[in-house]
Amino acid sequence: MKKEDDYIDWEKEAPHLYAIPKENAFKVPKRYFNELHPHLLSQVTLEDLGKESVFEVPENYFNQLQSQIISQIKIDELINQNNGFKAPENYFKEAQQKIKIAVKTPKKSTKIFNLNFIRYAAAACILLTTSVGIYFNISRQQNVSYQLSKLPNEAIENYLLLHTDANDLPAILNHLDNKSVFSLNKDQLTDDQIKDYLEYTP
Amino acid sequence: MVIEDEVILKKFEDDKTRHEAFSLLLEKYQQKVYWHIRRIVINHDDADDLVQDVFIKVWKNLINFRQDSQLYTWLYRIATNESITFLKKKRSKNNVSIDDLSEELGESLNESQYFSGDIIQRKLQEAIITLPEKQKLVFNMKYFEEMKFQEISDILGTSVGALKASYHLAVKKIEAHLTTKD
Repeated sequence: MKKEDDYIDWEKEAPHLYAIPKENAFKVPKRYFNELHPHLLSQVTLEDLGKESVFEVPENYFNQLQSQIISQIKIDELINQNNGFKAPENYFKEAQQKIKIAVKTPKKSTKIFNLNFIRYAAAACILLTTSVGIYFNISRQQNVSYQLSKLPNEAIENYLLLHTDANDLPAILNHLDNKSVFSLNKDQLTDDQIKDYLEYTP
Repeated sequence: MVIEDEVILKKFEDDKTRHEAFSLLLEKYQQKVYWHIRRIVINHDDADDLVQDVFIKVWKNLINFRQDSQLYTWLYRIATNESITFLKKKRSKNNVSIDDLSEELGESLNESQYFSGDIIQRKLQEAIITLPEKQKLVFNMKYFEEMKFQEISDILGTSVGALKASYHLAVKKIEAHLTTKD
């Protein structure tokens, strides 16, 4: 203890303090100071790296940003201001409830067309079309037979002689019954007729 | 071998030897700065954070250091200011008075695994913690670090006479604390 520097007569003025050994009672973790040195060097190196920004912003970005922010604040203020209109008391609360109820209630949907009706109508149309077609077909066939029955045999024979060729013979033969063929009297046919027949028949 | 401050400062001026100079500075002062901070804030983790903050500030500002004062005086001033600012922030953050903060620091002393002092050492530290800020600083720097009053004056910016008075008061208070029974 340097008495000439601190102007204290330690033994007289602070005997208890004077009796305490001057030692450092604080401790640090093991190897703390060995690790502190490189750690601090790393810290300052990082500090240097952190100074340079690798990011860039467009020219005048911050000036524009400032004006944009101020404009946005003004718009928000205007929106939040009272606009002079008043809604009935509890209007928005009640409107919300009404909307919720309306959304929850299922709507009765009105069908423009009844699906079953369409099915039945389509089936009826098909049946009608088919029936009409069959009817007219049968009628036409009956009408042709009826018309032919009224024609004299000579007219039919003349028509066949004029309008048929060898290709039509199988169809004609199919419509001739044996009776009519064999009922022919050989005496009724002349020799020339038989000769012609044989000549033109393949 | 102790490197002179002038050598460190000279090397620091050159970009090529700046990191080497800083490494020399750390070797010379890191422990002194750490213990100075630790005696103020008591807790090791807080001291560890602060010592890093201090040396980063030193790294940033050493290039502007004017050699009209001693390097160690400048280092101690930064460390002291950082520590006091830290304690003020802590007090403000926890919304506690100076007395409550002293009590909190005393409790952290008891709970700390990094305090190995016996009963009388613990009692001495508890007495120091209860001192007003300026008296605590002067006592620690004079009693433990054995600085001259002029050096302390350079660091704290207080007159030597005022420091002597503060020191004398601190010793009286600590002696009184040591004589009281628990």
